[in-house]
Amino acid sequence: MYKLRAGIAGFVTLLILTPGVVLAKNYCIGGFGNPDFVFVGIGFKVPAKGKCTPWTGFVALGANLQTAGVGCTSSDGSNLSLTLTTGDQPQGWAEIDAISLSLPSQTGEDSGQYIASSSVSSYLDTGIVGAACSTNTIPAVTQGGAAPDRKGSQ
Amino acid sequence: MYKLRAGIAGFVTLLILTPSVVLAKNYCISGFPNPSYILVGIGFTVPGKAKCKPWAGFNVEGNYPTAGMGCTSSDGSNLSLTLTSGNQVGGWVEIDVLSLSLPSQTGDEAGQVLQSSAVDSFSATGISGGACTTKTIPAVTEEGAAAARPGNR
Repeated sequence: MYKLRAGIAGFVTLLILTPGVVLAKNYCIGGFGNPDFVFVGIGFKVPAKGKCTPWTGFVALGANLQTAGVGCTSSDGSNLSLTLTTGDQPQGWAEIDAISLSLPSQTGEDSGQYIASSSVSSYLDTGIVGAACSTNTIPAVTQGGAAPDRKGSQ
Repeated sequence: MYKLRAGIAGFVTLLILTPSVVLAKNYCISGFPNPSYILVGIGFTVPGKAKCKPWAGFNVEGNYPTAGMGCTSSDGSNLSLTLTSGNQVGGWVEIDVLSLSLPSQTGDEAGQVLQSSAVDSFSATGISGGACTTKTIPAVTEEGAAAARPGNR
């Protein structure tokens, strides 16, 4: 009985001491022309008014597409803007997304620049939505999995 | 008298424990062909020799987040930065590759503006960097977006 109590006490203590693990949340942005193209910012939270927070994450698509950038909340708190750069090595493209989300709704638009084959293609997506999420699986890059990958605009 | 001393001691302790608040400074880069295009790196300071620091900040023209990196050469003569900014409403992205001589913190830039499915490359001289206290991030508005331009115009 004593050991059981000690074990429970130890587990509860562990939970208390590691809230970052227990409550870990990421931030997802979806609603792109390609519905499978969802940005996942690891541990990202909407910055406070007049603050910027670095974004490191990935795209929850069929390959390990890493994304880096920054998100800033305007000083009046009405808007969250993000500039995110994503690369797909197997498919040979990079994409830079300029996203603007109204606050507190966290909905808005994206102006994307898709760069591949020595050219750039600009596009606009509406209906972009951001929210906390628990997505945390980073897909591996495989030759088979890489083929279906698409940019955010399609 | 005791309370006064305790109060002063407490205030001094507060100052010591919160230097980031008291001494908070950002780093601004200006001198672009568009004089309103000023990049603000929040909390950024010139890295030591052979060091690099991430840049996270914004553009004073609007809430256009800027992300990138700055590195000081091992001989301490040069600070180079690669910074990417995005303007959602304006529909453009700009990649600024900057080289500033040290300790003057002045130099040149090679910029790439991506907009309307085209790339516009430009170069600029007279770029200067320095510590600044600019910290207000403008909101994105249709009016503000219309006026905001890339660094090259």
